[in-house]
Amino acid sequence: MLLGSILAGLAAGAVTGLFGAGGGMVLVPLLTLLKAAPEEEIFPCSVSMILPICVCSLIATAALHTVPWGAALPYLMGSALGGLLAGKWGKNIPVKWLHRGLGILILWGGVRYLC
Amino acid sequence: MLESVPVSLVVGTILGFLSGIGVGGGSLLILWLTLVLHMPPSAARGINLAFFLPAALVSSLFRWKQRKLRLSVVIPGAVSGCVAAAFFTWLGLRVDVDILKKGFGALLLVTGVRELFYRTKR
Repeated sequence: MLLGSILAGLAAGAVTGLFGAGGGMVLVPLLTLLKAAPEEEIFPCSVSMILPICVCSLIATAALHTVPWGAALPYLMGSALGGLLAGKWGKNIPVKWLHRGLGILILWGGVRYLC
Repeated sequence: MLESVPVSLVVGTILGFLSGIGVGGGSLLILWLTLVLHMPPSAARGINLAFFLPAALVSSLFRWKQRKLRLSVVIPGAVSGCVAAAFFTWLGLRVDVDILKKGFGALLLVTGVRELFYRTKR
């Protein structure tokens, strides 16, 4: 469990650091594959692991480059509001078709990035 | 128009909600910023990293209250992840953008296929 958590964290940190995104994309499947936590605890654990990883990458980005805080502010406010709404009403939403839609959008993004 | 504060707020709220229910809002934000708004990846990365913090903090507090956080899993991964994140951020800001784009595109393709075949059992 410990080794699985460390390895998954390393991979998520590497992806987040390189791309500024995508840590969760590798963290959830890796935690599952390495059996680092019981299945029902994988998602909450991954969110809490990604939080300090994003903070570290953000601090490094701000120190080495720039962060456009003015443009980021409305997204930050929306993120907090959306997180609160999800905490209150997100429990019973059937997510299967949301994941399908997300898959299509991500595939489109992948093709655009590669071509 | 698409870069205006109200649109950014609405987009942030929708994606924050999706993040909160575990449907990858962060990955969609980077696509929105780079492919729709045509923001340089180096600027988009800062916004995307910052975007995740409020939703993740709120979500973590909810889970903490519900006693659903296993710290013996979270802490080792967070520590190793922070070390890797600091090093790879330094590296990522020095690597050619086109190489990073190809790598991220490949990651998106794999993730997209995984999401298409998502099973609710997970």
